[in-house]
Amino acid sequence: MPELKQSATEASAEFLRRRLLYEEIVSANQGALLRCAMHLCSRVHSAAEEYVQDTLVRGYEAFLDGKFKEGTNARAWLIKILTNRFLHDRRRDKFHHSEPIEKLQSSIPMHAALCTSQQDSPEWLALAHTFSEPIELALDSLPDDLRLAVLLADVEDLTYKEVAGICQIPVGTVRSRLFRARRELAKWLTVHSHLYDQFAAPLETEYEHR
Amino acid sequence: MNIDEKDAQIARELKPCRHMARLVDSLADESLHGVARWYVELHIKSCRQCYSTFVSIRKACEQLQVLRNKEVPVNLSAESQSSLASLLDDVEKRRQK
Repeated sequence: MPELKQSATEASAEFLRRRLLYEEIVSANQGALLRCAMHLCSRVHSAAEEYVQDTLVRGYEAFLDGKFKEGTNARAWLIKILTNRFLHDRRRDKFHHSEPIEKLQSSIPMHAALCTSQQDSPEWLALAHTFSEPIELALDSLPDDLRLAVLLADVEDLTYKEVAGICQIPVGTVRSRLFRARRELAKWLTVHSHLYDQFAAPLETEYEHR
Repeated sequence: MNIDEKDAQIARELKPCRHMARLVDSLADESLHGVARWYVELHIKSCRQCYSTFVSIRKACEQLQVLRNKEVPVNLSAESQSSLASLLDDVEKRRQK
């Protein structure tokens, strides 16, 4: 009996040690995870928190199973869990012909007004300019695969190789998605340049055009 | 000009030469080096469409960097934190059984 008690105590101590290690990883990466979730969920805070919470629980299970290799990029690992979950939900929603993020958005008065007013109308411009950065609205207009690539590479600053690992696609496909995404963003921002003066101003480049 | 016409016009303007498309993108995100960089720099100085594409993509990249530095809540709300702690406890309990 004392042996059993001792092994139980050792097991609890091991759980405690792993929990502390995991909590360190969480506190170092929670902000990045929340930011990524906010952009994926089109800035619906409640949905983003739910995704982050779910990610951290799944992450803990994987951590206890020894699926996280120490010394690797914990942020990329957690973001991979988050994006897998998000894409899984999006595919399921498409299959069931529902759009929960958009529905959630429309339950927030500001978003509802933004969704219902006609694009380019004075009230849409006022709302869009007040509540979101133009680039955030531009990101919302991208399909999921392009949005994810540009978010991971350009906002989260992950390497192309890490993005390829997260999206489970070759590096060449990451490059091609990034090009398409940036071109779409550039187009959107140019069409809607009247949303903000900054973008309308000419960009000074080191290349003088002849 | 309505938004669709403007969209179509911009799509025409942002159409780089076929062989330059990805290179222009790489120049805009600063990942192009060496001879390739020199070649693209030379090309965009004399090609209006590639230059427009470069400028637009560079602007989009700059906007994305603004987003990177934009402040977001660093932590989950207190309510989510406490519910997360109990969910993690549940995971441990399931494992200990």
